[in-house]
Amino acid sequence: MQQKPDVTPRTATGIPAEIIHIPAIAESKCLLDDATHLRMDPRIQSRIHDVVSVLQRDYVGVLAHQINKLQKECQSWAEGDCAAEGQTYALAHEIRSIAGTFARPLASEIAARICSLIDTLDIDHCAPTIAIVHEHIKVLMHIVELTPEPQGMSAKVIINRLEEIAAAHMPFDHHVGQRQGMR
Amino acid sequence: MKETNLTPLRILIVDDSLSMRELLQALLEAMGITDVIHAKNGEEGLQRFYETRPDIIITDGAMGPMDGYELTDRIRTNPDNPNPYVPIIMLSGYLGTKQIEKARAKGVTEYLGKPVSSITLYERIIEIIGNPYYFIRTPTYLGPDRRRETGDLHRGAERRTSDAIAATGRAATGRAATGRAATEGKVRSDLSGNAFNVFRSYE
Repeated sequence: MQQKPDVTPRTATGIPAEIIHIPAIAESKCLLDDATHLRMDPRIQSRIHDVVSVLQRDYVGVLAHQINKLQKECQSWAEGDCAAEGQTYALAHEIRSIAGTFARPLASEIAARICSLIDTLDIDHCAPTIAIVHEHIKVLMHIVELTPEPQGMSAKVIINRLEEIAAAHMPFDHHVGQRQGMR
Repeated sequence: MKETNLTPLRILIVDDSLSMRELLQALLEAMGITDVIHAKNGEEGLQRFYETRPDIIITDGAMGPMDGYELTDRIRTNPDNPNPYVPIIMLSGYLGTKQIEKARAKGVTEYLGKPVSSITLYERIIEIIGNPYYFIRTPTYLGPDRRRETGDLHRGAERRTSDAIAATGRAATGRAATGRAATEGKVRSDLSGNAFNVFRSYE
């Protein structure tokens, strides 16, 4: 059941509040004679769709390039280059942010998992995390070649497999209530 | 039907990722918005904001040296700012409760999760520019009024009857109430509690 929002001004603590009315931007910028008629325009939606389609075609190459760089940075990180950890994170963060917009939600999810692994990394115990990140990158390298990328159950199977790999490298520590190698 | 002309709009994009800025610019251009300004962090964003007076800001959450939360805070709280009411859309990959609550407390207008859906972005821009909006100023908060009920539609019992009657003399709802309050000048209200609704994307 939909609850009625609490919309009544309240006096519990007696904090004075000023409510300021801001006119519609469409009105102040004279975008339309009547701003109340501003609606999503199907022609603009179609144009956005076209732009996304074009960018999507180019994005496959960009993604492949980013994944290659990701692999190199992760390799350097494994070899002890501390700065490479940050680069690995930055690349994964970028893939996570953009891949989903270009119909690559699985790549975005895997990149998000890499970010999450690095976010919760225990710096004194990072070897298992690096190994898991490597496994994630291998999967990314594989799926970037597939258009469309795996969806639905296939995507779920891939994520489950990555979960299993993570569990194998970092077994759950029941004493601390989290996986080993995580803070 | 005449096509909506969004060309007069000026939008400031603040994001540390060049690809993200370029993607957003391409989407905005598809909407007809060509006056787009870039900044690669909050500090630069703040400077560009004062220089260019954009109509809307689209900002990332996490970046350095100044993040999107601090940028929002500086815009909302600087007493010399000519437009502290500028709509701010935050795009963030972090969708945890803490981040969303932080954004809300700083006065962010809309919080959208990354990856961004182009149509959702368009929808939010239309909604922001097409409707008048309300801001609330208290000693500790300046930001959008999150109360979204728009009319006296509720016919049942008030959930907080004692608060309502004490404050206004009658039960009042939503923007109708805030509109009345605005015309009456200052009202006394505790806006720190659950009077705020959470963001749409959070619901």
